[in-house]
Amino acid sequence: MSETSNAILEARRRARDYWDIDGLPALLAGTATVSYGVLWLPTDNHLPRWWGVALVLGLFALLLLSESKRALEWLKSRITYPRTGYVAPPQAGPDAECHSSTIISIMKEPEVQELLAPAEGRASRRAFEFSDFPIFTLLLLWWFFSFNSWIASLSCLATALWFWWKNKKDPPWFEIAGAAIAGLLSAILTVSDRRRLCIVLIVFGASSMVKGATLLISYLRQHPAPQA
Amino acid sequence: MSTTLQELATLDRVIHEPARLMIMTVLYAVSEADFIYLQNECGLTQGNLSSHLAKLEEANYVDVEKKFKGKYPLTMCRLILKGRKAFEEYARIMRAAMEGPARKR
Repeated sequence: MSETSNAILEARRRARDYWDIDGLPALLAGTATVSYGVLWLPTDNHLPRWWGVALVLGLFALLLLSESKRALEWLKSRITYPRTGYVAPPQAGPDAECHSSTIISIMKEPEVQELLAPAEGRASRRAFEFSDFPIFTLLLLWWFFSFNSWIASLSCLATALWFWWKNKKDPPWFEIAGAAIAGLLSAILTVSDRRRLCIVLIVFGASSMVKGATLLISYLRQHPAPQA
Repeated sequence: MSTTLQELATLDRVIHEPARLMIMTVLYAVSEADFIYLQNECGLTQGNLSSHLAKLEEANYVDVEKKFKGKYPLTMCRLILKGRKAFEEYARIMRAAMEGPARKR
């Protein structure tokens, strides 16, 4: 029997997925990406102090990241926790892994699994995983060094295919659509390479916002506000 | 009587109850969870969960703390070391008991 049906791993996976269940992380990440893309739009390669602008925008990205985390916590404490409760995201440290490996070996047997298995399972629906970073770094490097609209489009197409291939059973359609639209716009719009990157950021951000909003609406429908 | 069979008699009865086993499993998997989350995950009523948590707290397996996340009050539950070890011991005994039938398959 596979380890994925282990009750502890399942509980851990459900706790991890719970963070995204209300769509707020996707909504805020999308908003941050769109606003960042919009801020980059007026910049150009030929600005006299281009690196100064890049530094300021880099610092702004860090600020945006930390503030969106605080905003997320604030929103969750008003929307999610009163409705479906709070759970700390599972720790991924070596200690947690050590505990889980001990318990996995103990509880692998079918009878124990049958005894402990929860009624329903929920597969992870995340499009981006930590393992994706090397792929995206390679695609971005390819893009930055070649500076060509067709390379940008091919990178977006490769991203869309990667999303689909990675999760064929339940493809992340919003991310696939975002990558496909970004690739299409990269190919047909006649703009500078930096602006092309901004457009890709805006399209990716917008697809994340749409996904977040859809999830949030369905979450609010499923879980009405608790009676005071 | 075999040692494994005798060991079954030493199973922790506090954990062995199905509802408490569910609570322990969830709390083992995460560092902390609040009352509403546990209620949803385990499918228990408020009163039922409350009484099972009280039993686990009494056995010093679970720590229940009332705190705030922003302005929202949370009844936070977490497994303490004694509870973690008791759960691992429970799982070890269960595995030892189930090893025979599982190998025959």
